[in-house]
Order: sequence, then structure tokens, then C-alpha cells
Amino acid sequence: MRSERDDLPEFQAGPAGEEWEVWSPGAAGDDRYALVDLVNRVLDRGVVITGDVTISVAGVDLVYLGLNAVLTSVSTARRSLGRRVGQEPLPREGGGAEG
Amino acid sequence: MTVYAYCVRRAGDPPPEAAVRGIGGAEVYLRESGTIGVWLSELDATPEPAAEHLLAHDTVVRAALRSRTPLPLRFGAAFADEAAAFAALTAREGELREALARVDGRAEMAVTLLWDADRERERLLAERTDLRPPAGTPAGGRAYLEARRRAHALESALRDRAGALLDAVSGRLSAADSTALEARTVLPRPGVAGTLAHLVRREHLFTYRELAERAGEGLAGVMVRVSGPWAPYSFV
Repeated sequence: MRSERDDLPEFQAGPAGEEWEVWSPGAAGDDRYALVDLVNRVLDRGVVITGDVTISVAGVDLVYLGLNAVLTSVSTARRSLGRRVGQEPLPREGGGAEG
Repeated sequence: MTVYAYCVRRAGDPPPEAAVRGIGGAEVYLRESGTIGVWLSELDATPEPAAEHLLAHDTVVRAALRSRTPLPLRFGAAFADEAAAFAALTAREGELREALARVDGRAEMAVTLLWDADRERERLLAERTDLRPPAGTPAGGRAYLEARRRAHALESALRDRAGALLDAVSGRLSAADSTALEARTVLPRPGVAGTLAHLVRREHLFTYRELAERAGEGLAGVMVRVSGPWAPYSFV
């Protein structure tokens, strides 16, 4: 008996059985862009469910929030905090990815 | 002790293989309630957003993606125990099931349009006389306001230019999967004209990649970089 899962298409294989991992064509230096993609997605996208939040700003300052949200990017955190604490400014980040 | 959640799946979807390891090398296991399943780990504490933890989170989500498209959770979904995790999830069970149906059989692909924004500004100034200061403009309040207006117009033109480039690339990629949903950002950060994410059917992923690698051809001043497949972070 076939299950629903048997009918699911697998990832289409690339030439010579190429593995479908995150890739970044071109020079090796492009790896940093793949990391930015990852950070933007994991920190600033995805389903948000209730949890506690720990935010690292510029890898130095930690802000702990009991919000109905989860960790987010610095830019999103600043917007979120501004709404919740009367537009009090957060420390400026020194860099890093924003979504 | 904290229970950390990586992604949501349908009840009955495959559990994580034994080799799948989560944050800090923790075991990843499946728990189900009703129509929803979730991949979890027990951690000593809520993880901080260190690079290795972000990578581990996505690695677990990616392992789920191989068998069936999950709903990736944003990093940091830590709970006191499994009951608390399921209380949060089941409160939104209907919404999560709809999202699972929307992404089923698909994965997220992404392109980033890299450019030199300063060069684009110079190009716009060369093309449009209305953006350049007139010769012999005197100093003063009116001149200041005119300069402000021109600066605003220049940034607006830059945004329009980025949008036009995104439209061009999006059009070229639509041949891979005309049903793909799209999410875009315009001028999200320095050096980036914009980003596109598409929710592409699995059987069209390789075609998408081939098209994306050629999508920048003929577009002056922009480099197109493609990545994926990702779990559908941008579509949940």
C-alpha cells in the first residue's frame, strides 16, 4: 500500500549526483554571503512561537526579554523594543546581518 | 534544563535519523500531539545566538527538509518542558497546518543582487540632470532645502533602479516554476540591491538554480548570487 509520502517528489538531482546542500557559486569568498543568508533566515524569519528571548547586540550587549517572540535580528529587535518600551533606543550594532 | 524546538511537521512524518545532532551535539527527537509533530532537543540552557548554534539549528531543519518540507521555527524557541512547547504549538495548530499545506512539496530558493550603490548613484547623476545641483546655486535656506530634495530624489531613484533589477531577475526565474510564491526585499543592507526568495516545487529546483546562475547576464552593475534549497523560512 502506498503512503502519501511515497508520492512526494525528492529533490531533483543535479549532474553527477550533486548533493543539494546550501551552495554559493563562484569564488570561495562567497561563503560569507551564504552565512549572511543563513543568519538572516534563522534569526529573522521562520515561525515565531511563544518563548523567551535573548538578543546579542554586536556580540557584546545582551538584552533579555520576556516577549511573545523569539530571538530576532537586531533590526527587528530594535523595532520590537521601540514599540514595547516607549522608543527607548537600543545600542547601535557594530555590524552584522539584517533582514 | 530547557526543551528547544527546531521545526514543525505533520504527525506521521519521518522522525529524525539517529545521526542528526542539534545544538551542542544534542540528540534530536520527535514528539507529536494531534496533527502536529515537532523536532526537539533537551538543552542545558537557552542557547545564545552563536554562529555554531545558528548553523546547528538550520542543520536540523535541513535534515527534516530532506524527507518532507517542515515549518522552520525561528532560532530561540526554548521552553521549560515539552508540555509548554506543545501548549504554544497547539494554540496555533490550524494556522500551522495551513502553512504546512502551503509549503508541501516545495523548498525556498534565494537570490541576492549585489551592487555598488555609490556607482549606481554616480550613474543616476550622470543620466538625470534633475538630480544634479544647478551651477552657481547660492547658499542659504532655499539652497539647503533644494539639496535635501535632490538627495531624497536620488535615493528614491536608487530604490526604483533596485526594484527594476529585481523585476528583471524575477521575470527570468519565473520560467523555472510559474507557481512559485515570491518574497523580496529592496535595499536591505549596504552593497545589496535586493533579495528574492521563491517557494519552488522540488522537481524544479535544479532548473531554478541553472536559471539563477545566468539571471544577471546583461544586467549592468549587478551580480546575482543564488543559494538554496532552504526550508521555507521566508514563507511561514
